[in-house]
Amino acid sequence: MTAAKRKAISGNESTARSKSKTKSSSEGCAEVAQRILVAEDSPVTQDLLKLVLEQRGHQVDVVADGEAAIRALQGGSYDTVLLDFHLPKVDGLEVATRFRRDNAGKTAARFVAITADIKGLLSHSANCENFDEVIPKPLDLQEVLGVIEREQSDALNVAKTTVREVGAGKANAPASALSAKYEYLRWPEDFNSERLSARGMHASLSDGSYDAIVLNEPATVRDLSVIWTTKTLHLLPIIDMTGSLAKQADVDGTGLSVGETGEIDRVIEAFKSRRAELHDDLVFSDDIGEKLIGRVFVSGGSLTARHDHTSRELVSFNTVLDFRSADKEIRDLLTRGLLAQDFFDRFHVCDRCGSSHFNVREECADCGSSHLEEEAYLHHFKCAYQGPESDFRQGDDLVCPKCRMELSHFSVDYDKPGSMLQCGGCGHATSEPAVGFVCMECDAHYDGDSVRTRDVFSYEMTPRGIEFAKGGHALQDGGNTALRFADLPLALIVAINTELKKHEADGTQFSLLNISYRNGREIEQAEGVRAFEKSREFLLEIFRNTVRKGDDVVKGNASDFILLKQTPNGEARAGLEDLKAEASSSLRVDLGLEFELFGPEDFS
Amino acid sequence: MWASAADGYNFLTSQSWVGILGLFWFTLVFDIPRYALAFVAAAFFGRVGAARTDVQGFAGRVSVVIAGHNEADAIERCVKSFQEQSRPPDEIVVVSDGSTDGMENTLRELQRRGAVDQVHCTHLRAGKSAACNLGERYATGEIIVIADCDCTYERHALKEILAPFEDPAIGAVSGNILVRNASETLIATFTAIEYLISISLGKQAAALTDHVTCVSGAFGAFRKTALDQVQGNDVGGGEDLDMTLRLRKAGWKIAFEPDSICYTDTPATFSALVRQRFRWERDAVRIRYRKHADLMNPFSANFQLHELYHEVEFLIFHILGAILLPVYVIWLFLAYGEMAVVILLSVQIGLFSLDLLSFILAAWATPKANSLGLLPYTFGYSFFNGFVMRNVRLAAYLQEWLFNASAEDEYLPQKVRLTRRW
Ligand SMILES: [Zn+2]
Ligand SMILES: [Zn+2]
Ligand SMILES: [Zn+2]
Repeated sequence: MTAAKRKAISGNESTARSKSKTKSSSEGCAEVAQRILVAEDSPVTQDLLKLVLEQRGHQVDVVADGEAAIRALQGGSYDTVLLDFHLPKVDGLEVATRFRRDNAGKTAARFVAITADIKGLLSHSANCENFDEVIPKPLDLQEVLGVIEREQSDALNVAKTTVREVGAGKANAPASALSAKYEYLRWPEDFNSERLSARGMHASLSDGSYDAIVLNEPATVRDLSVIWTTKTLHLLPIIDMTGSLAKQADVDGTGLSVGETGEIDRVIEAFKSRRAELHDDLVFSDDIGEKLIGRVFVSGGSLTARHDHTSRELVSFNTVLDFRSADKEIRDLLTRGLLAQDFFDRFHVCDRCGSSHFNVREECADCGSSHLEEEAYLHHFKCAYQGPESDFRQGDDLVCPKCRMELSHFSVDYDKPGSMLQCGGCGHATSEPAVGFVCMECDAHYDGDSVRTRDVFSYEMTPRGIEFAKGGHALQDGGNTALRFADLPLALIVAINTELKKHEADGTQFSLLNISYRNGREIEQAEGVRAFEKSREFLLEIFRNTVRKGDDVVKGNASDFILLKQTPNGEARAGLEDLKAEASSSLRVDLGLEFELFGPEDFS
Repeated sequence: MWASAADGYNFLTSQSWVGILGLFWFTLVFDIPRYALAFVAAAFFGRVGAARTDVQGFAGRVSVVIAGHNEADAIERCVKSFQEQSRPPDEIVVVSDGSTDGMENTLRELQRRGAVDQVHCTHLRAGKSAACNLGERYATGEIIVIADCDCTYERHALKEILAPFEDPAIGAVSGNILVRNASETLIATFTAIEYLISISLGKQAAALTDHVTCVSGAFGAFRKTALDQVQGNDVGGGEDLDMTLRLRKAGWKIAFEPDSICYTDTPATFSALVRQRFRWERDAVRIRYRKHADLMNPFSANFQLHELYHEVEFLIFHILGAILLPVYVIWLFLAYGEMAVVILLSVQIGLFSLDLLSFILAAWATPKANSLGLLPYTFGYSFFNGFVMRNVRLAAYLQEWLFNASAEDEYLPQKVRLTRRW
């Protein structure tokens, strides 16, 4: 049974079920409530998944080992099964494989693997096709929800997999100028329309074991669009051994001979080291614009426009993204100040179809025909006759039509004071042809002075853009006011979950205080990352001593948190001044402290 | 002063009729007859060229041909005055004759807007004759109207100039030329009066006896078949006079249309006027008595009394009059001493009366010109025209006759001048 079929069946069922079970999605709930089985041995992960999924309106059963999972599967019908790969007793792969085998054609359940050991999972290439999706650990909650609630028809199917057989030997065999020390993803073997091979999927998880994408057969930018819809693949250099991508590839390998690995290795290394500098926000971003800025960063910091006759805009950038998609994102990146532009060229654009492929020609101003023949004017001095040369032509001779004299001496008898164009379409004569543009795609016609133009620029990352690439959102946006559940440390989520339950049961209040550091970046630059981290740690230590016993002070990624249990927001706000005073009296540097308060209602 | 004036009066009144003839022979021979024809025409035909009330729009196709050299600034106004016509042309053909002032671009723009239909631009100047020939070569009208870039045309000018073509014998019609910048300088004012008398009135009178000998290059209409028959312009200058004479030789009748009005700028300074008249008068002499000398040869096939008349008329009144004026003045002083001043004064008074009468007649015959404002200047004009311009003409005739000076005329490109036979 193919994944596509399975997908179709489950799609139908969930649609049917949606009539009875759907809750309004406007309250942050899933559009279609599902029955989900979670098989996971870590209690923290269990709690977390249950909390998050139930909050979205799904019905969640949790089991802790493989045998329990098999029993649960036999007992009830699930829409989605989240299986940890390394389960006690029977591992997740075995659970999925056995269940599929025993219920071939009868189940609509989707199997999603959760694992930190992607390589281990994928090494069972024959069996791992029983999984529909793979989610890496540590878990990104947004991704979990994304995989579970994804529209069945979504073309941006991230980890959707039909794991295909890929001979390990073949995949790693160095071709021509490829150095054996790197791991390559190969076109077309590891790509198949929107699906990736197990290796491709693996690479999209950014575990660092793949170094480049190699084109062994011709591909178009469109063929490779999957790298923009999965995670992290866009950060790998593209080595084109076919020449089909021309300058949009990072290395043109067509001219390289076997063993001549230097150039490719250099590019791979450059990408690798810049990839290491790129902030995780950009590595894992789903936003095409942010992916683009990430790719620009790892490929050297510039987005260079070049003439490209294969593009309908006649221009492409040094990246495997079509001009139009790139242009759309670039506008946003420009307004965010991440890129600076530099004029490249001006193109004409068809208003009707957007193409820049034009035939530009001189044409008759009257009828638009390009069938113009140039003819010289001829002036016979002696009799003042002036007309087209054809009036004078008689075989090889020039004979004046007015005075019948044969003209034999240029500049004495006659001269040619200019030339005109005679239209073969309407017979009109002029010395001033019009210039016309005809679109080669839709045949639209434009006058030379009315055809629209488009200015195309090359781009460089600004210092602000580079800062964003290295520092991610926290530094970019200053304070991140919208509290994203997925941004919270796992321990904190579990603690908040407990508090939320109490709140639901008896209305007990709690306050979550988010501490961010406005001057963090500045201090890092002036005194180093260590100095900032030390101050931050010191501050949190002070807070730990200040708050009541039982309250949690939790270090986060870009900002930190204090969970004040049994404390209404009003009370917490009153205590804020004490915290601030304590902080400013103890700290040598001004961290630019900013506090934000959240209560139970912020998590509903 | 008063004493000598009284002496002069006594001197003149004491003369016998024969004595008067002896004193004023020049005026009687070379001035009085100049006016006679117009007066006679006015007397016998009532208002000369009385306005037709039944002008029908000409039904055939009409092309306007405008040729110019470096007329980028003037051409648009000229074209617009044709677009504004009550009877618009069916086609406007413009030739830029080797312009270097961006006239090409102006024409391209006009053509793009549909204001002109055909544009021909050459990069080497060929002269007005050849430029017009090029335009006429491509013009598709049955009637071809030749216009000048720096002229503008009264709203009904085209309708009026086309009217005479109802008569199939008419080969060409001359438009009426008025001075646009009459108030610019005194010279321009005098020229405006001169135009009114010599063209508006003079040509109306000439037309009565079928003696229009020049269809003005600033505004004339030609039947295409007539143009083809004489094969367009010959090498200039004075191509308008030359063309008219050749049309006459070919048997075509030439009309003048006083209500078809074209406005032109005339030289505003004396030196510019002199330069212009030197060119015109030299061309007139060259064309009439060198190129078309056969009109005066009784043994030529082209000889006709009718043509002989205007050739002789021009010879006597223009050329001989100019030559004999200094002879007359010198003779007066030799024969009568101081009394010559009195005689010349009385001659001027007589001429002034005639000019005044002519002016009034011309103004009356050309009501559209609205020229009564010029009346106070008639006395000055009379002296200027009678004594000053006559000597300018004399100098021009002598120069042309003795030195063939028009061969040096900068108005024509040198390459063309070198090939001209006359
Ligand atoms: Zn010739
Ligand atoms: Zn045409
Ligand atoms: Zn098009």
